[in-house]
Amino acid sequence: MHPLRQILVTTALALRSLPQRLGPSLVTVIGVATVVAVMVCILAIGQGVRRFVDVNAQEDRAVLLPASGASEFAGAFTTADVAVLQSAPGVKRTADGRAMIQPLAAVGVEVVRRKDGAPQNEMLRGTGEIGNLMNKPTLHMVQGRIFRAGMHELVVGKTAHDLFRGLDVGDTIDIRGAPWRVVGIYADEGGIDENSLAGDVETIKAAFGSTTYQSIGVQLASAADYRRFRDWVMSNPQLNAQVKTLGQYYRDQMKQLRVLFDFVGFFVGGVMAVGAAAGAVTTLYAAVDARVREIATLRAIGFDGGSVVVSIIVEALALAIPGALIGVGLAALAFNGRGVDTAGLAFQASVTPSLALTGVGVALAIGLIGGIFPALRAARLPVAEALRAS
Amino acid sequence: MKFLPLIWAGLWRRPGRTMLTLVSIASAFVIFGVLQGFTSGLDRLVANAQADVLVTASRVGPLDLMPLADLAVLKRTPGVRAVARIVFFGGPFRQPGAFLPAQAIDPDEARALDDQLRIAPAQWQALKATRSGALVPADAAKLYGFKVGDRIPLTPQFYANKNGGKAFPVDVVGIYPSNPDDNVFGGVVLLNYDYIDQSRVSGPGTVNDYLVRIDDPLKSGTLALAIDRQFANSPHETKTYSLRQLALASVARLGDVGLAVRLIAGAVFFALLFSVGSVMIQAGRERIVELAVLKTLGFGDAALAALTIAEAVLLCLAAAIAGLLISTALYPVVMKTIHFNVKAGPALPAGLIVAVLLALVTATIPAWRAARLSIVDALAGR
Repeated sequence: MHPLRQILVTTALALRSLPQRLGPSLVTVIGVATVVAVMVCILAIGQGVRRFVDVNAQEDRAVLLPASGASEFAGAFTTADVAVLQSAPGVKRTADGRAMIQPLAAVGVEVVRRKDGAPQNEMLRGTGEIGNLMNKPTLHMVQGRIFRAGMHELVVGKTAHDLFRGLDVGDTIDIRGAPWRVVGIYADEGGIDENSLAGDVETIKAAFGSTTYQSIGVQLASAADYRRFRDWVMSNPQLNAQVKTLGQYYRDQMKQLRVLFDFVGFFVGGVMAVGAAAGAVTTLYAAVDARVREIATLRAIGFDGGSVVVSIIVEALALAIPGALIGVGLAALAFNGRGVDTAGLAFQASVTPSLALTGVGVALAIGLIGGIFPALRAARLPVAEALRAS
Repeated sequence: MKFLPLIWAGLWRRPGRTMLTLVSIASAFVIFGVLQGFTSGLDRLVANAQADVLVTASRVGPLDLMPLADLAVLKRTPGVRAVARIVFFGGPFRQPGAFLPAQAIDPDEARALDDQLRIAPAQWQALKATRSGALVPADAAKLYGFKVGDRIPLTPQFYANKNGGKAFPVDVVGIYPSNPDDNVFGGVVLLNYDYIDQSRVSGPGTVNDYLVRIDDPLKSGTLALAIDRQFANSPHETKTYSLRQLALASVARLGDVGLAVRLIAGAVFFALLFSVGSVMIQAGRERIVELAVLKTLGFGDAALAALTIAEAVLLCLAAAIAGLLISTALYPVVMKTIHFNVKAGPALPAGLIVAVLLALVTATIPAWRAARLSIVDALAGR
């Protein structure tokens, strides 16, 4: 018989006898499904962090940060620094010819979580007219209006509004002993920008008795101008700063959270996969034991060991693939788009196609490893002895 | 006890399968051990947090600077025993990912405040005598190979040096035993406030936070309010909370992570229940004849059920202990990779309870079958 035909026959035999071993086979399917579901769910949180950052990350925006590599809150740029920047290359200009450079403030304000009433510090971003022009067109007010310069007015990101109490339009919050009024709520596709509060930079600076800005935002003419702009800043002895694109800055900030979920996902998934593979091996050994006479008969009438090996591995994969599909399906149903609230941030978990593929890949690996040892045992079965077995 | 050899023989009847089952149970306990170590570590963090030490920070946030003049006001507040200033001076060290925690303090104030610090009087004297001195906790000294007399460049996250650089050279004058359960100072590099204050560019004459030790931990709530009232409507309003509250809040900040940890552990054991259960049933079925022989020899129904259960308990406990041992070895690696600084809490007691429960549940069906076994049918192969 043609080798390929042999394989087809042995595989069909193995698969046809599957229903006789329904119980143990289902256990393997459940095991694989659980591994895939848990792993994809955890990795989906990491993907959510990625999306959360990418939505608002612009590569054609640069930001000047404290040279020490410290947190933005420690930045101390002066009006003189802003003046020096005016002659930097690659900076976009407004319609009326002003360089799009916006000194920014970053201060903490205390807000109270809706869920448990716990106090938390949230960033209040001080920006201005030019800074608002830099925002992507997707950023829009969903309620109220933008803050006015010189007024104690704030706008609140939609995520922050949903996460914390007392941030409705018309509410006031106390900052440094003075009331600030919430005049609007903005949204930008659920990205990181929605997690903060914003107001007029000069008014915030005055309220905090500060003479410096924490960072400087720059709109570049195009993303290609970034290198030129950065090299100019770095080689300018008057400026003591490090430069990043806004995208890089956001990605660096979220790196820890991303690493956390990616690592935990692969760690938990990997260890669980070892357990599931051991379970699959047990099931398939039992399957081989149950079919000892059948397999020996096949061998006796001329089927070679190779086709038996393939049939057992196909059986293993036949258990792993439905497991993978159930696992990915469960993860997508239960977790895709689900709000995650951790470390004072709120974002949505996202089960992406590449994650689904990762899940299927892990399931196939479990199936292969689970199938290979029992398959080799079946192929090495001494035919005469096996035929005599009761 | 005399049945132990019998149980043992039963376990190793099919060594291959027993090993595989051990591996799959142990792998679940590796995950359980790490997760349980993490959550019980968080619990311990809260339990060790002192309720009689308050932090007075700016209402704007713990990093906002506060004037040194507040120290005197805090000191004369009734119910306050000691006050200590702190400036956060920790930062990356040697490599970008590594963080060396450091705080600038006044030696006399810190000594009066934290009674859990294991610093010898001579070491305090050495710090006071050397302006650029540093007292280093033993674990950091071991990690970076610091010795007394070394000069180390600190690169604090929030401050730059007046000399134009970002490094602040300090001299190691003492190494003190780390105390992971002391969350006041415990594991930070201690520096002289005077030296730091005069070398930093921004914020001279200010501190980040004040630590306040009070006489009566039960009055921490009212005293915190009393302190904040003294600074109300000033340009530097304060927010005072106890270290216990702070620990609870930082655990609450993890938010859904706590829930996720419980869900993961639940899912892992859900899958395990099925796979171990199916193996146990299969093993029971193969041994019907042996069990019938035992029954013929005079073993009672209950004794056979007990034998089956004992075998499962032994298997699960052995696997659980192996898994938990592996998790203890893996825990520090995991925490280092995800940059969490939570010391592992005990996982063994909870793990053993879960292992016994797992054994009881999965052995129920085979034990019930063993007890109900009819000798005649079993021996006849029906």
